[in-house]
Amino acid sequence: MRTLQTFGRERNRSDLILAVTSIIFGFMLTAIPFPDWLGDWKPNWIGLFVFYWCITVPEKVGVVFCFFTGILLDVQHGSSLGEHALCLSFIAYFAATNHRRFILYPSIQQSIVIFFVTFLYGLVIANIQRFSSNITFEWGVLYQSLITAVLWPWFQLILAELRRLFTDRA
Amino acid sequence: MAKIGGLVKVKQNIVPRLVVCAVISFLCISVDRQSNYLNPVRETLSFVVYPIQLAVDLQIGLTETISSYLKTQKTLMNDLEKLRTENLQLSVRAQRYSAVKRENSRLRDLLDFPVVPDQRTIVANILSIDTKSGSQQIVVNKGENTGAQVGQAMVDVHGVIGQVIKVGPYSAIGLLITDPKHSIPVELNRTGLRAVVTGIDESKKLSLSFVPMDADVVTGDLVVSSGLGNRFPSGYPVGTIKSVARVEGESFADISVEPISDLTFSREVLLVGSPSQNQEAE
Repeated sequence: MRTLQTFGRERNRSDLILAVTSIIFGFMLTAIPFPDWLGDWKPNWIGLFVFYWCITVPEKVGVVFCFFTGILLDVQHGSSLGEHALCLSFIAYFAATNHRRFILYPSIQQSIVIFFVTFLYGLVIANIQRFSSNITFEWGVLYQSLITAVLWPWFQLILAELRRLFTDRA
Repeated sequence: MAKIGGLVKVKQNIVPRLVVCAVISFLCISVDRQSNYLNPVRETLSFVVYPIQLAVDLQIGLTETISSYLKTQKTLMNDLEKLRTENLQLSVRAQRYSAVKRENSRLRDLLDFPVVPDQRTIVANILSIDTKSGSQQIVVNKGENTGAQVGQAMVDVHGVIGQVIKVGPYSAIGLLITDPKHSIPVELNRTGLRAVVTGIDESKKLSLSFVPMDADVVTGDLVVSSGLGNRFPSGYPVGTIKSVARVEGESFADISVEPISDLTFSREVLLVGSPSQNQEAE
């Protein structure tokens, strides 16, 4: 019984390490400059990583973790502190309350959910920014969520494989 | 059993946690909008984010080095030839520049005008470009450590591209002239007409505001910074007039300007002048 519990704890810890590492990688992906004409098609990397970890290990990667990830993302983007933190906290909440249902969906349906989540994310960010300037509805948000949703099935496969590799060794 | 217990615990705690995080986020957003109390926090956290951005930049640099190794000799010779010609042309122009500068300072002396000192410049590399619609910003790799200051103009080889709005310990954030929140005082090189160039929410397009219908503006005119407002140094190219539309019944002409520098191709920028220095010069 004890061995099982310690095994579980170790697995949890290596999950957390893997989550932090992959999110750092996500920050690097976000920092890669895209050419101007492709700018709107840049996937929401941090959103993808955070969502994956929230539905896979909701007891480890939760609202507070995502809040701090969001604050760091705000620092990286130079947006007002709290914009991405707010959105990512809500994503974490949504994922934590629905993860058991979500895991059972076929991957097309998962992609559709990802599309709507990132679309809402983009809209909320755009609307927070609208308080200070007059910007119109952007198609960019739509493109970004489309590409993110398309990437999701492969992304999820790769991360699941990585996770299996690391946690089996631990 | 432990796992199920853990899950139940998560469920019980999650709503209060979300509420606390959301409230803190809202507070942060409003405080950060109105004031700069949160700048110390941002600066501290940028120590965490900066290495990540630096790592990406190093990789891009590495790719460039490798691709330069893989260039053929012929391309290199061609490049060399082109650079030599360009260098010759520029040095000829520079000779004239020093003569003109001397003449200018002599004339200013005659008129009892203060001589404008040379602007201090810092060369910086662009770390990331964030040209999503709604906000157009770049991050460069020079910060407080090399004397970057808020309000410095960002210039590349062609002309003005933006200004520094936030300075961290090792990096600075610049707002591009194409950002809808950005305006720059300008004048037309040909006629000296003063106006303001404002970013609209499209990259590669700016608008020239508050120009009367009967003003002498022609497609192709060069727009340069006027130096009014003590923020931008004067005389740097901003763009060229792309189209002029005079709609009947409107009070101002609808003029669009094409930015002179294409950000997609530049990697280095210059941070020019400091606000205090500009004020001294006035």
